[in-house]
Amino acid sequence: MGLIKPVREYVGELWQTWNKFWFTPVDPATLSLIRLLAGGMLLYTHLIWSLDLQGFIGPDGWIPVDQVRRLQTLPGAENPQWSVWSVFFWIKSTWLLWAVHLAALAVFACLTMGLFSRTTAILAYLLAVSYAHRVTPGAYFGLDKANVMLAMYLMLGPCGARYSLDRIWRLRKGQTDRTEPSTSANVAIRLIQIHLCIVYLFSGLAKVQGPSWQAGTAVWGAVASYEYQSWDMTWLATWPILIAVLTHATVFWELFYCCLVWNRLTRPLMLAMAVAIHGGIAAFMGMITFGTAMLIANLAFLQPATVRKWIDPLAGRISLALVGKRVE
Amino acid sequence: MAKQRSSSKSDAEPGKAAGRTATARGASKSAAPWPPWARWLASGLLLLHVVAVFAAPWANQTSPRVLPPDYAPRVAPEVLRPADPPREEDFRSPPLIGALMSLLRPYLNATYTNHGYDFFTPDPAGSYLIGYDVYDAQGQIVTQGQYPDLDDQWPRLFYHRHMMLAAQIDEFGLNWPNMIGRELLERHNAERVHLLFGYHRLPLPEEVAEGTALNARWLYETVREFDIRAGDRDFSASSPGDRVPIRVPGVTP
Repeated sequence: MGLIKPVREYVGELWQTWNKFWFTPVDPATLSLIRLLAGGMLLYTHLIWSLDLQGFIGPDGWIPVDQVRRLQTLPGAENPQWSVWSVFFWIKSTWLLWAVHLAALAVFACLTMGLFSRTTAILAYLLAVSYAHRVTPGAYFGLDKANVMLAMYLMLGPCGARYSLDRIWRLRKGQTDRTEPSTSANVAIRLIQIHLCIVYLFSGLAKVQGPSWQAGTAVWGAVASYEYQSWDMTWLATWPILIAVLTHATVFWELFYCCLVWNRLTRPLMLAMAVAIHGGIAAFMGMITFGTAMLIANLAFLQPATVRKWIDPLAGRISLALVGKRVE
Repeated sequence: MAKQRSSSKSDAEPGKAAGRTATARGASKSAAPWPPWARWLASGLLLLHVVAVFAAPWANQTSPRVLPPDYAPRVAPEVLRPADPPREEDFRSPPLIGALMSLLRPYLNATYTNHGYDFFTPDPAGSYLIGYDVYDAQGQIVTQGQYPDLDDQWPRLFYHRHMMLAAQIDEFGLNWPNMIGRELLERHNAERVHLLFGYHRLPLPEEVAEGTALNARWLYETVREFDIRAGDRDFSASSPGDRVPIRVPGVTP
């Protein structure tokens, strides 16, 4: 008897907190900014496939489709898994391959500019998955995982509500330029936040199993790779303490990001470390696209008010130039 | 920075808080909250999705190795004893993770979220390279090069794709020399291609401090070499290597 009321109150409070966390409408500014940047990243990533489209995405190429499908078959099964899908598994002709590819680039460009955002967000996600499955395994890496993650959540909310041609178009038609707070925008942002926490947690857990990460020497392995190097950091060879600090800081940050990023006092530190680590990956290891994609995902932890403070002045000038009205 | 939500100082329903917030931000009307049934439905789907996204790296980073269906241990003549056959433990999956994955795998596959996030783990390692010499019918070199090669593959992301190709291609039991060789032969209308699969190890800090360059010749070793001729299209046999293939994305117990 004495337990029922407290338990009921606790469950009630849990449900209220859950509701607040997921279903409070928010300004879609953060989601819109992520759309603008992630759309650009999707466009660039897939534009690069054009340099050897047949080789990486075509039916034959470096790893033919039937060989990739063979790998995607579960042990003991006769057929490949139906859930591992791609439009490129069915395209046999060169002209159709290029037609789909060019259409995909158009979709990514529209998503970047925020044109028909809701529709292009869904198409962009489906296309991103298609490309990713075609090159997995073979030529995929973390960038594909980050791209698909961002594309997946962008299609859940009104990612074209701000900083988009859709909004410019609404202004031109004389519709109200007020952007309503949106529950689905909050859901999308929360999912990016949680997914990011899961990524870093498991990345950290995998690292602590490695002797060089435990010992504090792993960062040397990153800077000493000739194939990855884009900026000579070999001077670190005579600074083992610095290598150790960087190594342990990386592991600490990844393991505890999922806890510390939620607190308003530690969040700036976690985001600053994200900039340092992903910026370092981009600058010193040549993975500019991957580092940038992860930083775009980290933007999910910015308040809409902060995003608007930075971006609205520029957006206002653009809308003034295009339609003679400044968006608010 | 404040939390990612409308500022609300009460425990009011999200809709009421949204109304105050929307009004405070100058909206002409308050945003309508989702009705309870929508929030219940969404909560169930969200929970399922988050569990799935959590389970995938958990499974990927704890599951044992999975071998391709036609895997057979190779007996190398130069080795004094045959390669160890896979043990039964290698095929057993962790009970809870295995059960979760058997339910969630189709969803994870379809959404391209069935992977781990083990970047540069367990430890950063050296790089694999594929060198090639392509010959015409007269035995003259038509072209030569390697993957990856920053001088040949630009921009950086294109180079990185080739680096991933060289890094991943030997991991899954594919007859990749025939695939790569066939592609090169067709591109250059050639008769023969010589492939060299190499490994470029990382120098130690002490070696670099003493003056070793990152691309010093002695850091490179040849793992295997192949000669592929026009007409070699047998992709069925496993790669003539002695590495047990590691986990294949999307294929976990």
